[in-house]
Amino acid sequence: MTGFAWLLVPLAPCVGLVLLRWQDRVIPWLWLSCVPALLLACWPAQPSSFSLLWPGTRWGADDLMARGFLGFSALLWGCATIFAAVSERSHPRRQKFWLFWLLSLSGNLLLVIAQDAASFYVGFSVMSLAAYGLVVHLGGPGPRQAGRVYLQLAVLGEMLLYAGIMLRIHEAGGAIGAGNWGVDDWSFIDWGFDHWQSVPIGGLTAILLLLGFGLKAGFWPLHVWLPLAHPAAPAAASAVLSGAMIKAGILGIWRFTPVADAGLQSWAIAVFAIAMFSVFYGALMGVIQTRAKAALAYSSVSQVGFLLAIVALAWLQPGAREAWAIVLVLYTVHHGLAKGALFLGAGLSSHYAMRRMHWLLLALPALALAGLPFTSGAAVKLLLKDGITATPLVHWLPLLSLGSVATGLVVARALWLMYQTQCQLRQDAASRRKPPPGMLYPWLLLSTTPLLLAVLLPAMRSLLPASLELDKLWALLWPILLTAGVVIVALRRGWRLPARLTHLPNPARHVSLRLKRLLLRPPVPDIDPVFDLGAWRRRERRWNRFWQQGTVAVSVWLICAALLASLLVGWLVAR
Amino acid sequence: MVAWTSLLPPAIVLSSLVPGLLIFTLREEQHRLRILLNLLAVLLKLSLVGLMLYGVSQGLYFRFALPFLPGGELVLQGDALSLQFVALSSVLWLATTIYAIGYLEDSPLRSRFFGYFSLCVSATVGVALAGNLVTFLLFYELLTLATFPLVVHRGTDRALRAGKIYLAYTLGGGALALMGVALLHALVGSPDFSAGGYLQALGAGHHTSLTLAFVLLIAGFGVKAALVPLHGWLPIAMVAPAPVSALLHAVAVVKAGAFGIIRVVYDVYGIDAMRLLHLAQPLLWLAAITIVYGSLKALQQQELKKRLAYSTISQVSYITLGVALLGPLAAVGALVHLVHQGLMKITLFFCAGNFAETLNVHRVTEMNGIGRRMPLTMAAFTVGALGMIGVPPMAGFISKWYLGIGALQVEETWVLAVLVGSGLLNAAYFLPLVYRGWFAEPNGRWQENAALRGSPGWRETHWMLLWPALFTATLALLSGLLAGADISPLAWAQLIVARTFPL
Repeated sequence: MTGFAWLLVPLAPCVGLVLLRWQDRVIPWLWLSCVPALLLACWPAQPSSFSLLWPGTRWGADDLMARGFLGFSALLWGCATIFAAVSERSHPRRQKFWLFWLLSLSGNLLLVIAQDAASFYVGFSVMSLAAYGLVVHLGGPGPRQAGRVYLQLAVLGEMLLYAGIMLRIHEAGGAIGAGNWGVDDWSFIDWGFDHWQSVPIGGLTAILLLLGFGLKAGFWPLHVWLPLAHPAAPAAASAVLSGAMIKAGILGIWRFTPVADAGLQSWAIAVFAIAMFSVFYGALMGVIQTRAKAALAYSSVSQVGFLLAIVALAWLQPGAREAWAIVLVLYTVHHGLAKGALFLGAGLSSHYAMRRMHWLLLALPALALAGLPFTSGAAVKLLLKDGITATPLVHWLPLLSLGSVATGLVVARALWLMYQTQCQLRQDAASRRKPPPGMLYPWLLLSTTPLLLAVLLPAMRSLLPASLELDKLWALLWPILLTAGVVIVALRRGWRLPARLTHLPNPARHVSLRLKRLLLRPPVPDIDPVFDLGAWRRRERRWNRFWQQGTVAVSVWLICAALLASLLVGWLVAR
Repeated sequence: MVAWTSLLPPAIVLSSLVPGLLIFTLREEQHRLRILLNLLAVLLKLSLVGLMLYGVSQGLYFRFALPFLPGGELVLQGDALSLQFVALSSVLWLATTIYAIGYLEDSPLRSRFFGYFSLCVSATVGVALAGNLVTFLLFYELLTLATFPLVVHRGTDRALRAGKIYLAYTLGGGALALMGVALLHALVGSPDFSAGGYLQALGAGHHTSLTLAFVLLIAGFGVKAALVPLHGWLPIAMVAPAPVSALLHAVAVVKAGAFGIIRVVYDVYGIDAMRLLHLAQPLLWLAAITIVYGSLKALQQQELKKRLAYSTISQVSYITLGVALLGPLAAVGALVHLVHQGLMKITLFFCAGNFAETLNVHRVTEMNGIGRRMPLTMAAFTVGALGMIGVPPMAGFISKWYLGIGALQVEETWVLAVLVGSGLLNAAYFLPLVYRGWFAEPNGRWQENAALRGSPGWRETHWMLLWPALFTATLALLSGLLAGADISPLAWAQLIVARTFPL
């Protein structure tokens, strides 16, 4: 009975959708659609199958991975929903906005609780496609371009995933056990994840899945849509895009790859290198951005690099998969909530007057991302470092600390850009408004999560004493101090970005536009037959003129030949 | 005393044939009586089909036979496969009848139209219920004759030209099919269709003639199923009125061709003979080429109905593809796509008809911002379009899922590439339509049809045009979302495959 509770998770947003058609008044209450997910994350019900839905459905959250993802996604989406209810209150196209919002929410929650490939794919597709509506919500050329790049890559990713999932199901023995064939009962159809954990993965399958999920997760070089889409979308939408949706790519990679696989193990170092490159590339690109949300988007590229690195490390050390799963979940939860808080903060600071207290709260998730002691950031950095020391990759350890510096720099840049917008706002007396409580409180809740998590989550709380040790404290603090030093020097000296760096060409936009134009008028050879009766008549005349002498004789010969040929065919057939 | 189980199949055919003939006798202005007859026939047929569905699921056997040819009786029978097609055509006939009544309101020659319309459905149902090749061919040719007056209904030069081409193609195809059937009839007579085929007994001796007969049959049925290079009539025949296009593309004509291919492969030749004679591989390639070519051509079309027509060419070949793969899961994919494609494509044609009737929108570029004026129609269109791409949880996703796994099950990995490529192309020609409808700014004022006086929402167009589209769109969504239900097309396809696919 309690298994039916899982139905509520994706259905609650859909109920909101129906009520919304009724009237606008439900908008302030839409956040309630995240409550079933949050409750089930805390007190999970038995996993359950629903034979009425598409075949093989199995929903549940019986492992830490699913519970962690479900909990943080619900919390983040809930806060963002309250925020958006106020920020989009008077937007003329708000009905459309909420339609896409609730569909994405439903898809995102569904993919988290999916325990089988089909449900995961359903949730993933619904989320991916519906998020297009969020990216283009504000309208105008910028969002339209960003939306186009997003949609093209989302569809491409979708198809790659389809192929990858099909191959994976096939590798796991197809949908059917060999001896079961020929009975009326098709209940043996099953593509649950639990069967796959020990099945080795083929090279092509792994590449397709990595590309398909990578296009969503947004690590280098598959990140191109991210820095375009995030600044174009409303703040609340960027928060969920960056906080929750891109994590679906990482979750997918984790779910669809086996526990121990020699092939993946041999790729692990290469993937780890890509991940580390993504960390620094994202940070570098983030520092040269001129809009706060673009800097934050690149920071996400950088942070997803860390998540991918954790996945690669788990491939490298199949024996320690459980431990790495914990690190991955904690890192995802920590980054998702902190990044959500930063995006909401960016949204607030671009429209409302922020007080000094608010700046402190804005700095908290930023510093947590850089690994400030006694926050969730410090906990995950410690876990990550401890984990790496036990692997052959131990000599990459300094890179991790440098990564913290890079993260610190990019979030500092984002904060500075937010501050700049505030300064511009202040000159305009009319916009010196206080943030409305509906936007302030969800942001406050998210901003304090780095502290709350560190205290409340048992896995993080146990690390608090460890971070008091001097050497560890120092290891955590020096990147932040170094960042602070660089920032202070930069501010004192009044460093400016060279103009050339602020206008880097963006090949993705051009390629996307080219593709659109090509698809509008594709060059396709035309093999459709043309019906020109006149041509036949002309041919007949030419034929007649050609045989003007002895037409009858030639015709007789031709008929004889045709008869002979048909006889021959008839004989061949009859034989 | 004849058992009722043997009378039900002819009753289902007659339930639309007799009202059709009666409608011919009506005067033009007797429109109430005509509507009454139409609706009565639809409801009668639906209840008869429901009865038969219940009977077949309970294991009853429906067969009706008349002496016809030496060695080949006129057989109408209801097995699981025919019911899949009969149920589809009856349900969609209901939607299309209502749509056609709304569409042709106050236009001339309605008696002729609805008369042939009913004949067309009778022929389709006959094709579905045919119990052997001879009967199949008979109804197949009747279908050609019954649809021709519908294609040329408008009587314009374009329509007449399209009708001529349609007739040339389909009669030519019919002649080829006739030769194939005659060849097989000469060899073994025309016994009933049976799961696993009836030709294995012939042994390997008749290799050449069996191959020749197969080529003739596929060429004959391939004309209606619009396999490249026999597809030329389909995009031209779209000058027909919208309800006719809807019926042609979703159930009647193209499906009759695809259904013929299913029958030939599974119930005449059978899997073993197909493997023995190496007949499946060329068919598979043909289907794959058609899928990609149809999608590429659809991408080029700037006229909405033409784009949909080329999309039909591509999508119907999914059925042929699944059949030619000769695997059980691919067979499920093919059989379920027979229904799913019908539901989605009829929705799209209904919507295209609504746009044309209400706002005089015929071209892709004119669709800009149409979602604001006709949100419900556009929503139905979106469901159909996304389903065609294979976006879950719409119906097309189930088809593609099973076709994909089915292809891998028989180790034809390259088919997956075809499915992916076609999916990308489908997205490339359907998503711009959805984008234009919902996100683009309208080009200017709409050319409203003054007679409809619509306003966005439930009154955006005539209710008889709107509701059928919403009905079929809902079915297209539900048959994907609730695919696991016992009455879903998927469940029925699995029943067919489990019963008739001995492996």
